[in-house]
Amino acid sequence: MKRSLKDRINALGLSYQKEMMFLILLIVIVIALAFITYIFVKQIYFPLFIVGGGVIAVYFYLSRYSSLERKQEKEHVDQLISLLSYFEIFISNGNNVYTSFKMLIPYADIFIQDAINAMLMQIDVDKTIGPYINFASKFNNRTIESLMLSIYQMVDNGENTIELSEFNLLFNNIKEKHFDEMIDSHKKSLDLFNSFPLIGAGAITIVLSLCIVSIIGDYVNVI
Amino acid sequence: MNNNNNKLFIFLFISLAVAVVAYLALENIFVSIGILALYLATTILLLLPKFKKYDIVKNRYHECYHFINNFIITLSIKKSISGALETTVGSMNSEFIDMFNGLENMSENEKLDYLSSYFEFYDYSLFLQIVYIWQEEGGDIISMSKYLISNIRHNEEYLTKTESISKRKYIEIGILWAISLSIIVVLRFALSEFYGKVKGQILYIASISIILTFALLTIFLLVQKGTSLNLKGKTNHEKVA
Repeated sequence: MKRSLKDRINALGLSYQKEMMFLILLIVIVIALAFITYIFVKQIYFPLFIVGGGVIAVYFYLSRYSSLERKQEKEHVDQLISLLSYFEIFISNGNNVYTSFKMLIPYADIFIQDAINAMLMQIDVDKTIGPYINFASKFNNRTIESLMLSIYQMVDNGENTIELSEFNLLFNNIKEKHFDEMIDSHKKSLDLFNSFPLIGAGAITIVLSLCIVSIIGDYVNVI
Repeated sequence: MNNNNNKLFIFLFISLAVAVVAYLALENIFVSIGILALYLATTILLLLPKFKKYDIVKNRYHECYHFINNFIITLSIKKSISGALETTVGSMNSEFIDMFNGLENMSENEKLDYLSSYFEFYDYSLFLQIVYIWQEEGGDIISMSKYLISNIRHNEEYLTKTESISKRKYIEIGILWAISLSIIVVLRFALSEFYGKVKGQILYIASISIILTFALLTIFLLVQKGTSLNLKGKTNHEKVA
């Protein structure tokens, strides 16, 4: 089911009123800036340029919610994977699955704390794979699903050494992949900045071209 | 300290270079001084503190890694917390030793607990849990802590790799901006006749000022991204930096 913009903003932990106020303020500033520029410059090109920039800014402002949602989902998965490293430590030190999950709670954020608490409450009454699958479904990620499946197998088989080592093997593969992804995402986030100097160079060229055009225009008018 | 001074000199050089570009492009001393002031204020108030915080967290994590690693190896040999603590502290830096010497009246466990305020990472609190389990139940400390050590080693590798990626990117973006800004300087001399007519226009002055401010914004955002670390703090997964 498609959620309303208000629900999406609230789910991201942002204030709907503040977001809308900022959007209106942005539109008002762009219109005012375009109007003032027109009064001073007496040409339509520059105000149009500002309005165009404003439209692009509003578009980016509104479309950032999707990327924030993706970022939030990814953060939850990242957190869970690093938490499962601790889970691995607790398990290897002789704690059972239930206790190990309980021990993770102080290290988790509110979202994961709630998810773990809900899972532990379900495990109290339901000893099937259900609670583990429900927990994994909150993260919308196949890797988490297979990890939870492997944890359930561990419980189902009496938490014996073979099942433990299978979990470790699977988890270590995931951890390696996650580590590579972390490095890659750091690199990608910095790669974005490559375009900034190009935008700067483009802006310089546009400004100088507009100035040349306006000077040529003045010459033509004089002739 | 030396590292911070180097960064200060680099940013001073960048600020002066941009101010010179602004002066060559606009021939307006007030705007050039304004841009210089903006660059210097951003450097002193925002950029240098970010680097300082990043260096502190990074070095603290290296120390934490060194401490945990040494402590576990020594504990496996000496089989006593006090012996392991004594040997490990001896291998740490002088700042750590000075801080640790102030804990004379505490017991070994209290000292280890106290260190969690110095090493504010989840990994340290997990290390404490393992040490306490070892104290109560015994066992082989090396195998008990193998996942923790592997976790810490991963984080160490993460720190080293991200630092080198960030440094490479700072240089790349710096060169790209230098090329972009050189367009203004080249055109100022190549089209000197045209430039004489343009330099007084408010629109031209405003545009060049905005572009130079945009360059500063790039530096700020780049430093912010480059110095953000994905190391988890002690409580509720807050990031340490």
